[in-house]
Amino acid sequence: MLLLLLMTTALLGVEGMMTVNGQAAPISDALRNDFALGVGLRWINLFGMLVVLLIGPGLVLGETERGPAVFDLTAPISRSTYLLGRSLGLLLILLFYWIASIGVLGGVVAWREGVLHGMLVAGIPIFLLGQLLLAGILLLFRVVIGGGWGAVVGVLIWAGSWLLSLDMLEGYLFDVNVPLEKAAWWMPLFGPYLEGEPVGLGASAARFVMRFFPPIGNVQSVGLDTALGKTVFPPGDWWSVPVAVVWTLLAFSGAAALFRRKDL
Amino acid sequence: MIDGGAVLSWRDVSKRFGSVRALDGLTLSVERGEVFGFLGPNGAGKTTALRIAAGLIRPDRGEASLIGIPVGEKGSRRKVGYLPEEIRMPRRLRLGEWLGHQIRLRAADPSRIAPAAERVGLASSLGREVAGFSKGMRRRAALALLAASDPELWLLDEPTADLDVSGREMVENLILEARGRGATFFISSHILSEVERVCDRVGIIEGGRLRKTAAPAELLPAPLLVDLSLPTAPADPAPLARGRPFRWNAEAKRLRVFVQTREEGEDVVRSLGDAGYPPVQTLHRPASLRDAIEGHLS
Repeated sequence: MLLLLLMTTALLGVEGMMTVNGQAAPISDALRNDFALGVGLRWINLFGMLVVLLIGPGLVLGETERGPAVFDLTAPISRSTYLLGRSLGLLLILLFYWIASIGVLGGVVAWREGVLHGMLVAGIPIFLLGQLLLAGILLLFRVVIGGGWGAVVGVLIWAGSWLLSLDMLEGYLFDVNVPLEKAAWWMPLFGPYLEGEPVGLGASAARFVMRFFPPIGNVQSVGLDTALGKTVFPPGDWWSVPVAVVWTLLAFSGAAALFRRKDL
Repeated sequence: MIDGGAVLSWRDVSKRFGSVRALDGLTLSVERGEVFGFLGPNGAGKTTALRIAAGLIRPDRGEASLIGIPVGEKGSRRKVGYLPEEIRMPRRLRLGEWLGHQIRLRAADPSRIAPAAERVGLASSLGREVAGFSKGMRRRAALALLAASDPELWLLDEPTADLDVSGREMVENLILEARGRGATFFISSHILSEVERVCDRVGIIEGGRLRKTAAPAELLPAPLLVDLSLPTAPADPAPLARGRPFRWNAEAKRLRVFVQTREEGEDVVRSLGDAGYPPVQTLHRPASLRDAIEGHLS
């Protein structure tokens, strides 16, 4: 609840001091509410990712490393079943977190606008998918590498994926119509998210990798658009959802396969 | 089926942890209804062998099976109960909750929980959080799980560690009662006197290798022992024993000779005096498993 209050305070604070293209500018109420919802959803997603990062792998594997799971694992259940059960527990925690957070956000915005944003609920499963994908990757690396190093690798993948999807933020910071000749040297690396054609090998490579890289950040964008009631299908980042489903299944399957062979 | 009649078997099992060879070609079978004691010094490989049988560790080489099913398959654990050396439980659960969860995992009868808790002396602790349990209480809780689930095969690693005298007696009675119902036991223990009392057969392991298996009585070269402290250390104690089995501790200058009768023991004392090594201290006593084991270890 403290995190939700923090998020709500930040949401209202940011709303009052936002700028566009580095200049303070009057904006419409519709755009203001849109931005407030968007920032609020990103805060909720950020804290959700932190939940996955800080407690996810430990929740699933912690007891195997600390010892209490010995009795569970010497019972006549498979290790995959054990892993599935623990992962479902993590899913339930995330689901409860999202329902509670969306309830708070939707309630605050409805109180301010007098309008209930029903599509917020539709975004929950997509955001959850992104967080499950991160959880699966962290779990896989935790099984392989063990301890905190698994989380480090997971963080790198999450951060890389997030950087590849700076659509809303970069749209407000960099102006979607920035001419290419004025773009900073690193901008073409994220070329797919700027208007115009990708420039150079870096941007092309980024676009190629983005198609197959665990699309955590892309899924977040889809979730955001869905929750805000924007058109998602067809084109855009729609492909990231099935790719994320495949990656999630692969990550958890890989973790289960490796866990089955792991000495405890 | 890996091994036809044995309830528990290892066949040429080896396991290495880094540069340490924990098990080296272990081949051993335990028959149905047998109480088998596994003895050896620290780091001999006892716990590794048990954890392989429990499916927690995979051997590098060889095969292990439980009730005819290869270890690692969940079916192999259907009728097996494992008591680890170190007992760790989820701290925030109450004992009754933890036992209920474990019993459900084992598809056992939940109505057996209360009698089992009573049996191990924890009936009044079913509603307590495990976080407040002592080591001895946690071991009793784990034994309650075994008593409630009543497996066919009991794998026990140091079952009486952290227990007081009454606790040790409770464990011994649990073993004897379950054995009476046809259960099989594999026990790793340092407490040789207890192993001696309950085990049908004993295996001695050292350096990951099985040195010998035999009934406890067969490990003893003779029923009696004359325990002697010598004034000086002889260069070679063997002639002093005159062909009898003996144990020599050079540091303590302590000679223990296995003898068949008290008279034979007194004859040993006289011969030591004649040889110029009159004992400073003499004790005639029954030979024990500890005396026998030391001779089988390097």
